[in-house]
Amino acid sequence: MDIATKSIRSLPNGKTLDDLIMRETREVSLAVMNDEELYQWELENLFGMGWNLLGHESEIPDANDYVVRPMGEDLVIVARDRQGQIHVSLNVCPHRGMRVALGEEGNAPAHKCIYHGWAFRPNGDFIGAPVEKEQMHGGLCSKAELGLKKARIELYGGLIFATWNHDGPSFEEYLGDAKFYFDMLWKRTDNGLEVLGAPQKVSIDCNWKCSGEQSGGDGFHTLSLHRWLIEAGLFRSDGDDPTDLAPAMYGINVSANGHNARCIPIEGTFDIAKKMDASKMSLEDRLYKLAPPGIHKELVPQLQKHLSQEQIELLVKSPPQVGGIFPNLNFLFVYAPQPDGEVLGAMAIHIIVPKGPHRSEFWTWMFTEKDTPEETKEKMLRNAVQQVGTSGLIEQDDTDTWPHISLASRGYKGRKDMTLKYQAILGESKPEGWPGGGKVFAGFSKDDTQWEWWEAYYAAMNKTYD
Amino acid sequence: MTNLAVEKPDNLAPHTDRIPVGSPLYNQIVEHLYDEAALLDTLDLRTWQKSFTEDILYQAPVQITGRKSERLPKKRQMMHLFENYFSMEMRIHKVHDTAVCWAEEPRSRTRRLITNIRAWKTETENELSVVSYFLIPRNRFESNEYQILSGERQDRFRLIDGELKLARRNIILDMSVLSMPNLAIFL
Repeated sequence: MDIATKSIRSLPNGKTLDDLIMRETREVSLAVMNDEELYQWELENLFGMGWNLLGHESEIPDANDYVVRPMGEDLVIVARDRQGQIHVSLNVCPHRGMRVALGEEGNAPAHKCIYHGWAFRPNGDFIGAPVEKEQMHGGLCSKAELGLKKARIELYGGLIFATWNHDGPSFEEYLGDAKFYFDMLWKRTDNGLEVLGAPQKVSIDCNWKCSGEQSGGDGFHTLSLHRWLIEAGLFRSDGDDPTDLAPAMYGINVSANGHNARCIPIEGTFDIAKKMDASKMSLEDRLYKLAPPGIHKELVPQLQKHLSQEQIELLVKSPPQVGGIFPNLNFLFVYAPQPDGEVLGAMAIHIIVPKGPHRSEFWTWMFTEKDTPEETKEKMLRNAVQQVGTSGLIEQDDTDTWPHISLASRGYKGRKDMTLKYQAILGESKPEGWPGGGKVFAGFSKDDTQWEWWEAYYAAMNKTYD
Repeated sequence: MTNLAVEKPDNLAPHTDRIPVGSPLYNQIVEHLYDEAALLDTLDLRTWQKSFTEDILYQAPVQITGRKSERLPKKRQMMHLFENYFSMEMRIHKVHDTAVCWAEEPRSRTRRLITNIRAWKTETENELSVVSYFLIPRNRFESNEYQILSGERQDRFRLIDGELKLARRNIILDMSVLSMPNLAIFL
C-alpha cells in the first residue's frame, strides 16, 4: 500500500490510524492494544468483513455434524448437510437473540432453539416454530427471511474459512502470492489433511494483536523467548558466543497481503541434516531421507503429483516452517527429521480469538495427512502436543508473555508514549531463480514481514462499511 | 489409538476389591498423594520423577461440551498433555534445570489440593486404581486473581518393594477452555 495513503477514520479521541501506525518510522503506538473503540472496528473490519479460519472439514465428517466456532466475538454454526455441503450460519436465533446450538460440537438434523423452539436446518434455513398453525413468527417476515444469518464460505485444502463480506475478494484472491507457498503445506496429497482431534483452547489475558503481530513473522523472539530450543540442543548452534547461536535465523521470509512464511534451510537449523551432509544429496534422496514435516515416505510420490518441481525443491531444502495468514492465524510445520523417517514433526495451526481488548482465546489444531499410517498418527499427535499448544515445550512461553504487553498498554505513559518498533530492515532481495512471488526477504530474519502485517492491518482498517 | 484411560470401577456397585478408607493401604495412598502434591508445589521435580515408573503414561484429554441428545462428530481424542517417561524428562529438565522456562520463570505459586480419594485393588496383583479430585489455584506475578483448575485424576499405581509408583495418570479437566494460558505445571 502506498505510504501516501492517509487515514480516513478517526477514533472519538481524535486519533487517526496515522497517529497509531507511524508508517514513516515503522512504529505502532502501544495504545492499539488497549483502545476499546479500535477493538470494535477490528471486530467489523478484520473479523466481520475479513476471512476467518473456523476449522477443518475433517472435524465434521458425517451428515449433520457441526461445530460452533468464533468469527470475532460472533459464534457461528459450522455444519455439514445431508449432501455433504458445509454451511456457516450465525448461532443467534432471529426470534429473540438466544444461542441456538448449545454445545461446542454435535450432530443434529435440526438445530432447535431451547427458548421458544424455533428450528433451523444445518444450512441455516428456518424450518418452523411450535404450533405451526398459530404462526409464532407473525405475518411480517416470510419464513425465507427468518433463517440464521449465512456467512460466505470457502474451503482451502479442507480448511474452512468464512466471512460476512459477500462481495469482497475470494479467499484465493485474498491469499494472493502467498498461495504458492501455502499450497505446499495444505494441498500436496491426494486425500489431504485431517485433524488429530478437536482444537485445544486456552484463555489468555491479552489483546489478540499481541499474538497477531507475532504471527506476522517474528523471527527475533526465537533467539530469546525460545532459547530453550537451543539449550536443549534441538536447534543447531555454532561457536561459543550465545548471540551467534542462530543459524536458524538465516532463511528466506516471504510476505503477501500481510500473510507470511519463513522458509528456513534445514541444514541451517538441524544438526541431523548437517550430519547427513544433506547439501550433497539428490532431491529424490532428500525427499525420502529428510522428508518434509508431516510427509510419511509412502506419501512422497503424491507430493510429486501435486506440486511443481520448484515447489518440491523448496519444500525439501527450505520448507516454510512457520508463518501466518492475516490477521489471526499462525501455522507451524515443525521439522523433526529422523534418519529412519519415523518421527514426522508437528503440524499445527493456531488462531487467536478476540474476547475484548484485554482477553483472548488461543486455539490449536494439530494435523496429519489423512493417508498417514494409523500408528504414525498417534506419534505425530504426541510429538505435536509436546512441542506446541497448551503444554508445548516451545509455545508455553509465548502465551505467558503477551499479557504483560497488554498490561503495559493500559498505563497512561505506556499507551501515550510507547511504541512497538519494526525498524530492523533487511529489505527485499530475491535469491536467483527463486520460484515464488510476493515480497521476498532473503538473509537474517528481521522485521520486514511483521511490518507488512501492520501495513495489511492499516489497509484493512482504513475502510468503512455500511 | 492406545487406550490409556484407567478403568474406574462403577461407583454404585458393591465392591469386594475396594480399599477401605482408613485401612493401612489406603493411608499409604493418601500419604503418597499428599507427599506428591508437596513435591509438585515446591518444584522438587527430580524427587517427584522417582515416584513414577519408566513405562508411565500421563495424559490430559481435551474436554468438549456436547448435548446429551447428540453424539459428537467422530475424530481422534485431542490432548492437552500426552506424555511418556522421555517427554516427562524433557519437561522436568526445562523447568527444573534451565533458567529459560519463561512460563515458570519467575515461577508460579501453586497449591495442589487433593481430596475425595477412593482406591481399589485391580486384576493385576501389585496394581491399584486410585481416583481423586484436585483443585489447583495458580498465581503468577502480582496478579490478585488465581488461575484455577479443578478435575479428577484417574491413577494406576504399582506397588514395588512396598512403595507406590505412578504408572498411569488420566486427568479429566473441568474446563473446555482452560483458564490458564499454558500448562507448564504438572497436574
